[in-house]
Amino acid sequence: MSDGRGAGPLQRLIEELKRLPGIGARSAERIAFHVLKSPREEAIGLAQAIRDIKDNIRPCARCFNLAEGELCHICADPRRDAGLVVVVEQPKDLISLEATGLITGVYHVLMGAVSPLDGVRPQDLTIAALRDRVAKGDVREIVLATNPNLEGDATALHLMEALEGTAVKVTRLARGLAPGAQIEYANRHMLEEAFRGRHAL
Amino acid sequence: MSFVIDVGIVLRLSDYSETSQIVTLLTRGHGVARLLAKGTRRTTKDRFMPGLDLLELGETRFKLARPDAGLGTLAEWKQQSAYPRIRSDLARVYAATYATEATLATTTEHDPHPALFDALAALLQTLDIAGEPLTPDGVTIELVRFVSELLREVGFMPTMRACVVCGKPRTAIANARFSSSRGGLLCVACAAETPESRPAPEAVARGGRVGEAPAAWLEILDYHLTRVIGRPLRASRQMLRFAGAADKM
Ligand SMILES: [Zn+2]
Ligand SMILES: [Zn+2]
Repeated sequence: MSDGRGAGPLQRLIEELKRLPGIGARSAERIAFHVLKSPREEAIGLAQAIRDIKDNIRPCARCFNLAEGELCHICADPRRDAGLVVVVEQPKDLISLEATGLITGVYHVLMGAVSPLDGVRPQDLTIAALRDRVAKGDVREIVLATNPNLEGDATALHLMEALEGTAVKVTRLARGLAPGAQIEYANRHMLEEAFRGRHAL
Repeated sequence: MSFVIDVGIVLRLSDYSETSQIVTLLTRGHGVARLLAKGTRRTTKDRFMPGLDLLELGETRFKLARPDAGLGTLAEWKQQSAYPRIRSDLARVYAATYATEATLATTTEHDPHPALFDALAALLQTLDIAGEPLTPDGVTIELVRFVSELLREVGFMPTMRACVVCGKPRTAIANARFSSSRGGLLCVACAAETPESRPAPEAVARGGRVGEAPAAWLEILDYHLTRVIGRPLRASRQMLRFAGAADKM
């Protein structure tokens, strides 16, 4: 397969698009021709938006959510309850939970899950930063919202080990979600049930 | 190839696309099967009840790929057990993961080992027992039993009764060593002529039962597996830590 380098600009765009998740050769061609025919401002707007997320989005200094400044919009919001921290594996899970409108607290993004099979260890995640947040003393409750699958369970067990000896109350989302399910794809109703039914560990 | 029905254990799961996953099963009658499972990620489809996760046992309908032809197809998965108590204890999670990882690393597709499937299912079942929880030693003992069975099935079980080179019985060997490339125990003289060997823990060298020194047995089998596979298992370090093995790696 050609990597597109050295080919014409249209072929190059098709090759780049094909690398996106869920885009096959056919779709890549369709999108490329669409861009080719679309007004210049529209196409440049797309290119600029892509450049902006790479240049201006970085992890929040407190919770590792995607942020445009030092802190993400949630950590920067004084109306959010900083005493309630919902721990998720990745920003996509945060977006799903945030969509329920039920979370009055803040988040902590682990940037992954412990995976014994893939060699992802607890120290590869942002667990130490979470412990630092707890050590500062204003966290009351930590809700573990890792996925209800083996890796999410292993991550939750490591988190409990890391939080042992602190005064903070640790709860976990209820198992309303099917085993093996992923928070990212759960519907709003399932997430509401899971959050309302959270239980102490 | 046509669709078949079998029981299987999920050894590996990786995302393939927004909606699909690649599932590696150890099946009882068809060995290791790498299958494409369409639609398992997004919702709980009836065909995949109730979802699909690592270390689950289930009934399955699938089509194997032809040898050297990539992925087969997973058509149905009906979970029979997810071993919930394994998931509530890290030592058990790592023991179970160690077992699946070792299985994956030493077996190939299109090579059925029903006895190996039974041994893995038995291990998961035992790790999942309710009531009195397994002690860390208990977890290690179960894992050592499984690894021994695995090595026997795939033909790599080391010989521990006598020096594998000169045949000197182990009772007559002082300061015994173990060599993975030679496949077992060595006396000091034979070890001197073998490039690869390590001290055999005392309990292992005198033929002590697994129950007497589970950590020592795990350590020696882990050393052996590492050389058979050509790399350490990813779950190895954590598992040795839980077992309380003296980490000589
Ligand atoms: Zn933040
Ligand atoms: Zn000898």
